[in-house]
Amino acid sequence: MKRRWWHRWLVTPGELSKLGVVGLNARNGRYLLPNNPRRLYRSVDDKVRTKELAFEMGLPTPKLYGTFSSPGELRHIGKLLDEHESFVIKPARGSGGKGVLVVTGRKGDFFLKGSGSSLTLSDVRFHADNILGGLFSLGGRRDVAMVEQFIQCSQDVMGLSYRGAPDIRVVMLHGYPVMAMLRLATKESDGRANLHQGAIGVGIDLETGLSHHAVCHGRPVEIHPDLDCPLIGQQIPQWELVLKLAALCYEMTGLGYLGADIMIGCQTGPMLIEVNARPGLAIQLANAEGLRRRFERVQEEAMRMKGSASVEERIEFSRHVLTPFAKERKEKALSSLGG
Amino acid sequence: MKRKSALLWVVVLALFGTALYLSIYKRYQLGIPFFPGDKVESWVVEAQVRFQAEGRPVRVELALPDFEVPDLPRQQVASEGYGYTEVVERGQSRIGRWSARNRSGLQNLYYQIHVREELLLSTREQRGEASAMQAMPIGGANSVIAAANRLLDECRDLSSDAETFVAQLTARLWGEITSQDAAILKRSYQKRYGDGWGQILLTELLAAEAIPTRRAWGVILNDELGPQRPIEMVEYYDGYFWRSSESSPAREPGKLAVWARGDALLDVRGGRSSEVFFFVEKNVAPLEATLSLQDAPFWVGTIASLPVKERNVFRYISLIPVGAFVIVVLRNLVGLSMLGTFMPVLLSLSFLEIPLRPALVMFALILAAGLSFRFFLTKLNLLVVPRVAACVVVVTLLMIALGLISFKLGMMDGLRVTVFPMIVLAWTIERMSLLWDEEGASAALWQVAGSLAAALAAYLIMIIREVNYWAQYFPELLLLLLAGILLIGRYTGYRASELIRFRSFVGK
Repeated sequence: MKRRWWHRWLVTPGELSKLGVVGLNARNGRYLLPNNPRRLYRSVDDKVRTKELAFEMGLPTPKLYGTFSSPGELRHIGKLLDEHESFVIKPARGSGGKGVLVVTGRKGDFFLKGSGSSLTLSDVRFHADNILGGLFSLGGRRDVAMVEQFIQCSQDVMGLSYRGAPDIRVVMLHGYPVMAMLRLATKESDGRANLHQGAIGVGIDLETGLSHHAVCHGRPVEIHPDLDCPLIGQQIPQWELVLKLAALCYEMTGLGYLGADIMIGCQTGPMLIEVNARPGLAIQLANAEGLRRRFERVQEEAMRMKGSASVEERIEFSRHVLTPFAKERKEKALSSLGG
Repeated sequence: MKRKSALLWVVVLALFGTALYLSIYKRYQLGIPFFPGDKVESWVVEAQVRFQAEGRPVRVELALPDFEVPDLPRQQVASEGYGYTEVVERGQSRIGRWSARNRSGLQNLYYQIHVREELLLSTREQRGEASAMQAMPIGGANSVIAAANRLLDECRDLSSDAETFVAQLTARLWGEITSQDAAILKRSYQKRYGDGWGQILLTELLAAEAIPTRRAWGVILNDELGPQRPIEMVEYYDGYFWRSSESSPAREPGKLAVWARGDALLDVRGGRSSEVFFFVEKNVAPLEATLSLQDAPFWVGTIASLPVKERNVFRYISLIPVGAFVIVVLRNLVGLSMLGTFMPVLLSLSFLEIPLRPALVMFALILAAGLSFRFFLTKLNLLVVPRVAACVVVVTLLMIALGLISFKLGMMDGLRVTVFPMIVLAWTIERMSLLWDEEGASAALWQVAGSLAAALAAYLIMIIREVNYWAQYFPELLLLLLAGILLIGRYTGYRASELIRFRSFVGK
């Protein structure tokens, strides 16, 4: 599209529509509300429940070491933590990565955070107490604190992220992968992979698992601002497994529209971290492409197959039918990989 | 999907039709104009008598307003299980008399009247007669008598007739002219008579000048006051007219009308702790229209047919949907991010009650102080609910402090700080501080700015005179808002903020 003077400040609705960008109202009204019945939210909003479901389905997720649902139980947290060198404490009903405490190791009596700072046992207990009090959950409701296995990320992607674990978000409609992005922490995002806190969103090509575009604060970037490594043309390891894991989330939860958050462990391979029933729209910016055309193609296909498509068929469709929309960009990514 | 859309359109059209039908019916059958008039047309004044009945026969007499017009204005009496009659005695106001046998417990009697404003204000001056009277010298201690004589001499010297004499006198007693003698008199009468001393003092001073007087009680025409006690007044005869004069030191602002005159305003037998309160309410629509609304079938009901006390509450309540609509527009069409979904509506309702600038200053002060206290609380490692509760306590203390300080500085607006919803403020502070920690100061400030902008937008729409008028007299127009909200609920287009958010899509 030709650049006009007003594009410095805004795009017109007509242009956005031509680009196939999906807005929040459209996401809610067209994809979220019709496809995600309220009763299914329970299985993803409570992460303990998600873990149980994933275990039944045989999907790899970080091991659950224990849960704490009352301040009284927190007295025993020290004993539980002693058994593990590293762990993650997070709220069962948190959203947007709030309240996640990552402990990567020990130094004497101290716990070491991913960012390098150290905590005492009472700091950790206070954090868990805040989780129980509902500090990080929607509407301040009481919550459960979960302690789970810390996943050491594969060096292929860890090398792209500044002091924080990168994760892959795959947006799914009717069980078909629609779009994927890699989220990388920066100095500004403080180890977290939240795009609006300054993390980098990297668009991933569904067919190959190659990164082809990246944005930070909504603006395109090609090089990580803190690590100086190139962001374009990077290969996500075990890409087929990532897609399969994401696609199985549909069978697991029954949600028509979902976002699967996946981490790639260096020994364990791709692991499902959580499932999001209301995935955001920043993935469009990361891929420099609107979601709408892909959604429409998937809807046609789902209608045609009437839900009979197997996981492999769905992935096959996504990889070979959806992506040619971004063909030109893919070629660019491949060429930068060659050079 | 298709069927759902059809259903939506049917509902929207039905709402539209009902709203239009009802308002057209009101306009042409009941004669209520679509737009408010330029001036205040009439007032509803309601007197509420309250007392504790003691299980004996009860008789209540309340002095009522008289008007020098052939037909009485529209009046209504509400009192369950009481007989009601009216009596007129010479030289006195009309008296309404309620009677019943064997009542006990708290009793409430209501008397309501609809009057044009000119008619109400004309009561300040009445043509009439009075029997000539002898001068009655002031009694009491020597110092009081001497002070009274000096005061009377001074006023007599500076006046030409009864009217100017009273003006001089009241200016010294309660007005801008300071007078040593007036101060002595005031102190002594206050000590001697307690409540109602002003009326007695003025009556006795005028009696000393042989000016005929009678007691009277007034009502302030200001519908922002809420319940008001009767204002003590004295009427004096200047040879042609009975004129009225206030006889109390200070009162709320607003025009004053004489409610009744005579020996007593209220006389209750068979009860104790009796009180009278007045409630007044502006009618912006012509009087005839208001009256025909009260007679209309219940399905065209408006707030106008409610008792005055409740009308004030419903006037605010009927504005809440307007605020909710503004929020829906700002969220789903504009894409403004705010703290809490409907917090801005509550905020804008508080803006309605105090002038905007002090309201904004107070809001900012409370928020800033509360926030800094909240950061201090973070260091104490408290659990969530106790922390918010602590914030509530601090916000309360801040409000009291703000009220006291502004009172000391003579800024009366500060006293009305209580209109802010305290719990909402405390949660706003809590949410804001979380945002501050999680996403940085700028995100938190932006969201507060968004909430404030939304509250301001809602406020600016709520204070439009027409909007107020429609909410009061055409509440069925709220159905149009409902239809609008339903339609926005199905809008799947872009929000204005997304036009900015996705701008980097074009042109690389």
